[in-house]
Parts: sequence; structure tokens; C-alpha cells
Amino acid sequence: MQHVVLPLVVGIAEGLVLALIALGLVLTYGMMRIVNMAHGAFLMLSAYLIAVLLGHAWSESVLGYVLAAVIAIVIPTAIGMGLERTVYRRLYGRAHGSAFLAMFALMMVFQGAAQQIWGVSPLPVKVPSSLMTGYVRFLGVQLPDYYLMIIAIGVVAIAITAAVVYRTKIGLWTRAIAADREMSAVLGANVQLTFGLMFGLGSALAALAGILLAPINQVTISLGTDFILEAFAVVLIGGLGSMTGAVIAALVIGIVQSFLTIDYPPLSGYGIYLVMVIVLVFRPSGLFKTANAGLGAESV
Amino acid sequence: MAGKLLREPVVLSVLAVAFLAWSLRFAGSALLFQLTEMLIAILFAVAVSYVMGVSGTPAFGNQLFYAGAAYLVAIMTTRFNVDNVLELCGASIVLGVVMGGVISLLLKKITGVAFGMVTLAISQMAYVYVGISNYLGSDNGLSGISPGTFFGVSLLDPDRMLIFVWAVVVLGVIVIALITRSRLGLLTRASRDSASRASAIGIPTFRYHATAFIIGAAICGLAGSLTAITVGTVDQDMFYWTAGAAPILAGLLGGIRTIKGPIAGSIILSIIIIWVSTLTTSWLLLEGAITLGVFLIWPQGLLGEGSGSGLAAARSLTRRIARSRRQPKVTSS
Amino acid sequence: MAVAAAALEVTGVTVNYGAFRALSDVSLQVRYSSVHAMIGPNGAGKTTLAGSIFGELETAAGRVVVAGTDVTGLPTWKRARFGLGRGYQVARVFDSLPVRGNLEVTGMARRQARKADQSQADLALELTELQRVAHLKPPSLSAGDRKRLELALLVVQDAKIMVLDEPTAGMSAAESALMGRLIGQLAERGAGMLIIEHDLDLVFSLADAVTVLNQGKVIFDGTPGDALRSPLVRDVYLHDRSELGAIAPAGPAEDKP
Repeated sequence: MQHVVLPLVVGIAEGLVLALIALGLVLTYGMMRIVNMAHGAFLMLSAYLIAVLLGHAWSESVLGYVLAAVIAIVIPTAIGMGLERTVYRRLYGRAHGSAFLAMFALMMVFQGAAQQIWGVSPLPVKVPSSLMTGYVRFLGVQLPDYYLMIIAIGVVAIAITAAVVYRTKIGLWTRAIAADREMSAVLGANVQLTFGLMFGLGSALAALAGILLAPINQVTISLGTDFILEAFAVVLIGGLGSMTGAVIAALVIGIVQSFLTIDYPPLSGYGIYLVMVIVLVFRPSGLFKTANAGLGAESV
Repeated sequence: MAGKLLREPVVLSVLAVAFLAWSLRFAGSALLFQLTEMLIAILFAVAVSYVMGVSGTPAFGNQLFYAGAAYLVAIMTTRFNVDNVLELCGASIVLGVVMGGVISLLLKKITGVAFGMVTLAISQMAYVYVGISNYLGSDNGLSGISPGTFFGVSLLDPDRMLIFVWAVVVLGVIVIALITRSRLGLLTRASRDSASRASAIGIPTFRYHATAFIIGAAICGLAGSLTAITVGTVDQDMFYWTAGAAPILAGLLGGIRTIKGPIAGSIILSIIIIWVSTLTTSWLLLEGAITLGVFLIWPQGLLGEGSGSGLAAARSLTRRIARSRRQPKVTSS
Repeated sequence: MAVAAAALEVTGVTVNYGAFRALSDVSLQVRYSSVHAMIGPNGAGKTTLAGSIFGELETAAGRVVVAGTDVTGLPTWKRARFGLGRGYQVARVFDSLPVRGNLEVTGMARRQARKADQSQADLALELTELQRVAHLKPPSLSAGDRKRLELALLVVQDAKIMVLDEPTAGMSAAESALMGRLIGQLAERGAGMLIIEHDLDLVFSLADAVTVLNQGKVIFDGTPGDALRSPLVRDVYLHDRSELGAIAPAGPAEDKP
């Protein structure tokens, strides 16, 4: 039991975090048709922020932690929305090459800035011990509180995102713009606003992922680039533009990776890439096809 | 018309020869090493730009061929005592062709960003594999690669190494330039411009893209072999995806559809890295900021297609700055 | 006159986009030296049919035979080698090459030649009246000029069957007239022209045969005159009644030979 339940739980938790990052990418790609290379920057930023904010007296309680988390989400989100208005606006409709260049450069600026401010050594993250050291007994297995917390938060965040995209007006506009931007604009969709808000949502999700990852990964400047590659793989496996696909692919990869780490450690580095190559060779557009690479789970 | 066609190659040739002469005359051994590295970076960037710019394939995994060839050279020199640089370079080219061919066929149905990401994934898998393989030096890498000999002459001397690398790079660039301007290159560019129109006139676009990818892989391998013999060590980080970023960045900076573009881009990046690393440790920040700035003014790259507009933008920008300086400040009274 | 063989034969083509059936059992024949128009409301499946003729999308059923050869299942580039030529709704040409370069590369692709044939390019430029822009690149041309460039490419390609998707879309009256003349000339030179059109004036002045598509099905196939008289066709164009009324007299028209 131990051998199955624990890795499963850890796998689901890590899969959900990956899903949060991937969802941000899907939103950006679906709407703007740009593969946002700098997405990892928000993740890195929030991880650094939470590391810096924790460890003070006021943040030692759970409430303090939540407050610190909120700050660590809001700041990168604000920066993201600011960037969207300034840099990303100029990328729409540009050749892929120049967009890639700009985003890569942006990522370098973030990493360089982080390096200047916080140096090269990884930062320690002092999460309140009540959250980190507790266990829950389930089916005779000890499940760490922290991972259960990640699962809970992850599920809620994804549910909120789904609600926004599928139940709100702005979500409707987002899906319409993803399917046909010109037509949506003609029909009255406020493209600028939608882009800005959705970009903000994506950045917020990445920032949330960064906070959740901070205590269990090394907080260094390469945190963003490490995870962004995995997130891209998830998006491609799930199908470019499909939110459902991204979530499912992320969970599958998280679970596979988790079991590999325990049962076949040498293979654990390959896991995600192997899955990606295999899936894409047999289904080049990913597991969930979307018409016109729009946004959504519907296959047409 | 012919004059215009010849102008660029003539200018580049003159610059290349001038570069060699100046380096041999004035550069100390530390600078010689950096200049040699810059030449290799140019070759790498030209090859990657051919695949990404001329063929239009987003290829984020070319470091696979570069690092793979470097490791091949390391194994050949340290474990099999192969000394002849021609054999080392030749084997690297063959490795590139074989790997490029296999990957092209394997990923035949995958296009666009997905293709780029899968090639990147393959390179990442190589990174992991090399890291755990003792034969390949795991995370310490392999060292003690001999600089090799050219027709019996040892390339240990930095001057000789520079000349050899310079010759190989010049040859490589010429080959890519000739291919670009050939019928093969023309049909490849057409396939890039409009895959549907190209197919509709009977061009088997996959074959052209695959050929371009294989050529790119071969030249990337060649660049990798040069790195191995000049630096003397190889390391698993060479397979990591950020290692493949420099040539892409250089190409985009200078203009990814041309030959002069990646050359200029590599030179600029190399200069920035050298200059900045002597000043501060913040080269990441500075390099990123400069690249971003360049993108905003010259989205097609400094010397890219349509960069006429870029130059014009630069000219008008400088004119505007000059004008604002000359005008006396208006004060309200 | 000898009976012209079918340049293009489409038989029983069915195309599905997931659960949506875009084309149901569509058949038509295009003869050499003729202009065959395909008309129908938006979304009827006309562009989808063009795509399936060229192998740009998967067909669930049906055959496509070009110049006597069954090309069903072949990739687009192979089909092109049997004489098929394509004009897209929005012109697709090579943007990085000047007009002349576009023509040269098309000639090189076709003849698998090493060098460009200037005379072929010159001929095509003259025919389509694009000489004065020969040195410009497509992004500098008007949309109408780009569509004429597409036609010039087909001339160089020596296509015997040309499928043109809305050849006069976005053109002025004068440009449309020129396009119409060109299409007629190409038909006279022996090509089988299949044109997807909304400009009914053009259709009824040029076409020798008309196929009407509606909701993925062929609802009429015959001469333009018969099309005008068919109640089915008039129903389909209910909202465009004025167009039909302007062309055809209210009473029974005289029979065409």
C-alpha cells in the first residue's frame, strides 16, 4: 500500500502544480498564439518573494504565510499584466522568431535581475512548521500535510480557472478570441481587456505554482527555466490550446514521474520527455485536438 | 544586379581575412582563445539560422548535434587515440547527418513548435543519459581532449588552432551560403514561405525541410568537434537546452534569414559577453536587456530581411535624439 | 467537335470534421477547355471540396481522378504533378521572393530544372498584365494583384486543371473583368477551370457548366441556363433573389442548345 499510495499522492500533487503552470501557457497560446517563453519568470519571482517574505516574525503563523503568499502572487501578476501592455502587445502577429527572441530576452532580464538582487546561492524557504511537518494517516499510509495542501489548493485553483473560462463573460470572450480574433473584435469583444486579464490569470497561476514549489525545490534563478520546459511538454502532450488536455497530461506526467523516481530512479529524468516524444510521434497534435487550435476541450 | 549580389560575399571575405591577420598579429593567447570561441559560435549560429531561418523549422534541439559531436571527439581522442583533426571533424559531420536523418524521419508528422520541443526533449534526454553514464564521464564530463593534429602538425599552438578553426568556419559558412543560394535553398525557402503553395506546385516540402535539418545538424556537429578540441573538455551541460539558446539568439539578433545576420549576431553577443563579464557579474541582465532593446527597434534583426526599415528606424531615432539635444529648452515664463 | 475527356472527376466525396459532415457524397466532372463554376451559400462546403481535391484534408469516402489517374490518397505535391493547379481564397504566394522570382521558382519546381526559365516567366507576366510589378514582393502588391500572381503561377506551372477559390474576391470591377477574361483565355488554351464564385454575373457570363452546393450536398449540376430555371437553386438563393432576378428574365427563358 505504502508503495502505491504515497507516490500517487505526491504524483498528483506535483502534477497539479505542473497543471497550474501549463494552464497559463495554454491561455496565452490560445489567445495570442505566442508560446510564452518567459512564463517561468513569474514562477521564479514568486518563489523568491515567498522565500524572502517568510522567515520573519510576522510570517511565522499560518495567517502570515497566507498573507505572504498573497503578496507573492499579486506582485508577479501585476508585473505580468504590465508586461502584457508594454512588451507582449508588440508581439501579436509578429513572426515567431522575433517573438521568441523577445521572450527569451525577457526571461534573461528576470533571471539577471534576480541574480543581482539575491545572488547565485539557493534561498532557504521557511514555511510555518505546522504546515510542513504534519501527517495525515490514510489507509495505513502517512501522507505529508504539505502535499495534501498542494492538492487542495491546486484543485481549487483549477476549478476557479475553469469557472472563469467557461462560466463568465470574459471567459466567453477569451474562447471566442481564441477561435477567431477578428470576428470577436467585430462582435464587440474588448480584446485588449481580455488579453490583459487572461494574461494576469495565467501569471497568477504560475506565481501560485512557484509558491507551492518553493519549499520542495531549490529556489534559484533556474527554477523558472527548469519547470517551463516540463510545462511546455505538458501543453504539447495535452494538445496545444486544450485546457483539459493540459490538466490531464500534467496529472499523468506527475504520477508517472513520481513512480519512476521511486521504482526506477535512473529513468526518472527521462520520464516526461519520453512520454512527449512517444505521444507526439503517434498523435502529432497532442491527445486532445482542438479545432483551429482554439481554446477548449471540445474536439471538432 | 550582379554587382549587388557579389558585394556581400566580397565584404565578408575581406572582413574574414582582415580578422585573421589582425588576430595573429595582435592577439595574446587569452584573446586568441576567445576569438577562436567566437568563430565556433559563428559557425554554430549560421547552421542553426539555416534551419530556423531559411528552412523555417523551429529547432530548439540543435545543441544535441553540437554536444554529441563534442562527446564523440572526446571519446575518439581519449579512448581511441585518434589524433587527426580531419578524422575528428569528418566523424562529427557523419554523426550529425545520421542523427539529423533519423530524427527527421521519426518526427515526420510533427511540425512547428511541437517539432522544436521534441528535438529539445531528445536533447534533454541525452543530457540525463550522459549525466548517469560513467563511460561518458557522468556529471564530471570528459577532459584531456587533445587539440589534434592537422597533417601531422599539432594544433596545440593557439595561433595554429586559430588558423585551422578559421579555415573550417569559413568553409562551413561558404557551404551554407552556396546551399542557400542554390536551387536546393530556393525550393527550401519557398517551402518555408508557403507550405501549401509549395505543395500545390509540386514541391515535396518534407524532403526539403528534412534536408535542411540534416545539413544544419552536420554543421552543428562540425562546430561541436571544434569546441571539443579547442576547449579540451566536454560536459553534460552542453546538452542542456539553454546551451542551444546562444546560436538562436545570435541568429535572431542579426537576422535569421541571412548569412550575415547570425555572423553579426554572434560577434555582438560574444563582445557583450566578454565586455560585460569583465565589468560585472550581471551579464545575464545586460544581455537580456540589450537583446530586448534590439528587438524593439529592429524586430527582424539588425541585418535581417527588411532590415532596411530597421536601419531607417535607427537613423530616425538618432536624428530625433540629435534634434532634441540641439533645441534649447523651452522655459515657461 | 470531339467529346472532351474529363480533366477532373470527383466521385462520391464525403468529408467529416469530427461529428460534422461537411461534404456528403459529392460528385462532379470538369472537362478540358471549359469553365465549370461551383456556387452555393457560405458554408456549403465549396472550399472544403477544393481542399479534398488537392488532398489537403482527409476524405472519409470518395475518389478524385485527375487526367485519368486516380490520385485519391496521394499527397498534395504528387497530385500537383498530374496537372492540378490551385488558387486560394486568400492568395498564397512566396512572400520572400519578388513576382518574377515566384514565377521562376514555380517553373523550376515543375520542370525539376536547375536554372530559371525567363521566357516562361515573361509569358505569364504578359498574360496576367503584371509586368510593371515584376520586381516587387507580394506583400507590396494589392490583394487583387496577388490573386493574379497566383494565376500567373498556374500558367507557368502549365496546369491543365485549375481550381480557383473565389478568383475575383476583393477586386474592383475592372480587375474582375480582367480576371474573367484570363479565366476564359486559359480555358480556350485547353485547361479545365473549376471556379468557386459568389459573383454570379461572372459565373453566368463565363461558365459552361454549373454545380450548386448546399450544406455539403450537390443540389444541381448542369448548364447555367438550367440553373437559373431550377426552383431548387432559386430557393437556396432566397435571400439573394435580387441577384438572380437581375440576370434572368422573370418568365421562362429560351432553351440553350
